[in-house]
Amino acid sequence: MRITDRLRYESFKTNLNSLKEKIDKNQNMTASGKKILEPSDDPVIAGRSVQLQSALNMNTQYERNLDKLAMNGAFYENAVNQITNMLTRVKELAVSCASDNIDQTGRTSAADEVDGIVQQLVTIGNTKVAGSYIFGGKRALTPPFASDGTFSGTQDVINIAVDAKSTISGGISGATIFKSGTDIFATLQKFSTDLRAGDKGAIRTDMDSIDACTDQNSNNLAYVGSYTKSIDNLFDSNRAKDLTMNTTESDMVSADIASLVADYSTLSTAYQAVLYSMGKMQDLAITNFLR
Amino acid sequence: MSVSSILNIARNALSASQTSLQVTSHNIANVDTDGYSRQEAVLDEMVPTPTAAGMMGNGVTVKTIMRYYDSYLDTVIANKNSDLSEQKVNAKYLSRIESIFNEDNSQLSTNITNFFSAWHELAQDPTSDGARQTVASTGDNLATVIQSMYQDLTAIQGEVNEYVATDVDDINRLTSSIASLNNLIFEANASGGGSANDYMDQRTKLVKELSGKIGIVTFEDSRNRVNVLTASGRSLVDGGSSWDLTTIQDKETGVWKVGWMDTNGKAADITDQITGGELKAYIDLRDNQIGGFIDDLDGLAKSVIEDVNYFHNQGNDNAGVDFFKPMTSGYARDITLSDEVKGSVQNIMISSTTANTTDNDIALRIGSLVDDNPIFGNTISSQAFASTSTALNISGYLSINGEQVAVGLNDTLTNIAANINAKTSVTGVTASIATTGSRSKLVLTGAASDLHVSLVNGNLDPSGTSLLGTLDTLVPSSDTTALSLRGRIELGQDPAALPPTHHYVDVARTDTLQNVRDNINAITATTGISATITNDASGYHLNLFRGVTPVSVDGDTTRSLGFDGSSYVNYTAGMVSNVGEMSKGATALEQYQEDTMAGLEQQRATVSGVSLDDEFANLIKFQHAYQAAARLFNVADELFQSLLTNVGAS
Repeated sequence: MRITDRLRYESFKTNLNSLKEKIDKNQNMTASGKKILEPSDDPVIAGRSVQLQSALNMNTQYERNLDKLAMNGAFYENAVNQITNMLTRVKELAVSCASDNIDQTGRTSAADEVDGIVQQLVTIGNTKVAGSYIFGGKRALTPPFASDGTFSGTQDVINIAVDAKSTISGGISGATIFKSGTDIFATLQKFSTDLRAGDKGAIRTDMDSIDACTDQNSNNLAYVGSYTKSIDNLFDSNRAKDLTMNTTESDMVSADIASLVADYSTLSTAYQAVLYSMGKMQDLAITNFLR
Repeated sequence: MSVSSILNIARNALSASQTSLQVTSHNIANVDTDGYSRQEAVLDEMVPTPTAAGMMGNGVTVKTIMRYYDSYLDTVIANKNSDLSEQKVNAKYLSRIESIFNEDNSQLSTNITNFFSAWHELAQDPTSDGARQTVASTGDNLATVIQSMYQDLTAIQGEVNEYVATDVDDINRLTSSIASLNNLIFEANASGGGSANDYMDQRTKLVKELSGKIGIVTFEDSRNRVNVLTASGRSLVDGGSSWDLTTIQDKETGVWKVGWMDTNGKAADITDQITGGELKAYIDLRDNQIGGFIDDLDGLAKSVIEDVNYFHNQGNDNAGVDFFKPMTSGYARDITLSDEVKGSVQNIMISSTTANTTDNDIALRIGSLVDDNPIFGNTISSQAFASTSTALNISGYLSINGEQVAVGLNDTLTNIAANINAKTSVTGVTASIATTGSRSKLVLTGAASDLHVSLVNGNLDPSGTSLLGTLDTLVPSSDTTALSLRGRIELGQDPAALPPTHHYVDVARTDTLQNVRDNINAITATTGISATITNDASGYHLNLFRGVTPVSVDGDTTRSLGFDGSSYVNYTAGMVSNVGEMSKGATALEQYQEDTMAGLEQQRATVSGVSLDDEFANLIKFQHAYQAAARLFNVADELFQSLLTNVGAS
């Protein structure tokens, strides 16, 4: 087969160019740390990488949501603890006022204290965190408890997304804490009235109501505890998911730098070899041998 | 035989050597010329003179100047050039389109997730103005990204369009050059001067260039003229005349169509008949591929706009405020925030009721869209069934792009598919069964990107005696959770009315069974159909009545033909994969064509290429022959001298 000069030079140029393309791609991959620079490098992986990246983004948002819930959870726990303390005090007052060892002035001052406790409970019920009243349910812009204990929020609470297609309650309603089962405010207000009236029989009945409130409150405490615990669990699974997805993504997309560098040295050797051999062939031109 | 004949021989030899030397020099000079075929002076004996001693030779003459070429190879190369040029254009533009869709550049799915994340942020913090602002700005970013991808795609489309016009001009230039070369070659042959080698080389080169532009068929006639036709049979070059292609521009869209001018000056549209070359690649890219990508982007924008607006309109007691500007076409081109939201972020709806000021159900629902499957595209698949040949016990109608296909209680998946395919010519939708493992799905594929399929109950019989079964295709496990089905319940027509009125109830994804019942009951006055909900072990059933007559339930109603679409992110990932796949294929094909072409060129060079080694050897050869012939002159001259000086001297 005849080899003509033009052909020789053309194939030299083509070979050199294709080597240069490979070297260029190798350097791009090393610099970016990714093996997939364009979707055509691996279309299936490129598509999956888009999906994974989006899932990671949404996971970050869900983590933020959980942060908010955890923060509110701490306030709820605090609030219910305070209610426990106050109810304990009220029980003490009830026990001492139900006995005959105390006179009406004692009972009146106890009534004042109970009124004070009611106002404190209203303040607790109107806890405001970052601009919203956490016991208001779906009406968190205005204080849900009036000073007489009337509740103007909602029993329903909003839902918050914590994972794809998964939501949990975003809070606890004041109605649940203060008014489901036994109405704490009504009980305490009645207690205060009975104290002022000095009605020992009624006071003894009130003690039962107060006990009921305390029971309900310890239920609430357990509920809040399990609520915050579930948020912790969700955090854990969110972070585990994050880790898995990050690992998968890195496996799919990251370049193996060591093998890239090895490839580069192979390619650059080939490149130099081609240049060298072409240079040597120049000396073999017939014009060098004719006088 | 005489001294003068020796002189003649010497003179002929000299002339022959000179010609050979000139041809060799011509070859050497053209060593790098593209498309050049090496030439050789063919030497032959001169006609011998009969003498008493026998035939006496008369020296050498140049019979012809021969050109080394393989016409079969030239044809193959020209055809291959069509394919190669077409793939080069494809690979180049697909690579550009791919970088538009590359997530690293476009950040499309990142913007999508940012947008829906912002809604989640707003949902968990309904009182925050900052969160509202973020929703508005991420929405704006998403709209901007979609718009700019659209602009980039249409820009490429416009560029390719212009190249169509430019290429047609090139083609006309080439065909007229080929025609004039045909004439020159014809005249050269006719005047008996031997073949016009250089003209033929030029013509081969032009034919190769022409085939790169458009797929052609060539043949050479008995007079060495090359006739060129398009692959579909329109004449481009006929002997010494050429036929022009012309471009016709559609005034509205600016799209150039290719026409062929006939003898009467009328242009026939041949745009669809072009089979190869750059022109085909440009037309294909412009009309089919880029058009397809733009449609995909449009589908995404449409779904985002419509779905977000659908829920947003329900905010604040169905106040009807849009989040994105509503539109009926040009979704990807014009997507933008609504005027209300642009005016004030306080117009962003979070709660479905104004009473519950900090309720977040609207925001939550919109945020959750990212995990929904709202996009149907042009393929819908049903839920998976265990068998394609057992009766599904579903009755009703499928309304496919407006056409009704009945589904009977005894129909199997295969029957349903066959019934749908029987109406493909009307609906444009084909049905197939896709089996993975042991379960099979019914897959509907439409030609358009918007396939509208809705679930339908039985038809109205005006006489009132026909059965209106329960809504057999819906048996959810709760009547207060969203059905996640989108479609239309046809309640039939009132044929007495003029024009016949069409009664229906739309089912939206968020509708619960109770909503459907309420919607049906809202139009009882006009349709005569009322609905109730009953509950049994298999789930909740929607029962329809005409008047007070309860209608019996037919058969087992636990199955449904639920259809699922694709989520925004998956749809975007699909677009990326798709573009990547096409670009990869085009690059691979281009590489293959280039390699094949290189092989063919190598073969051609073997036959027609100039090797300097060869030519220099020839130079020396002919140089010696010339020297020898010159020496012959000397000898003849000496002979003459002897003759003249010695004979007749006194």
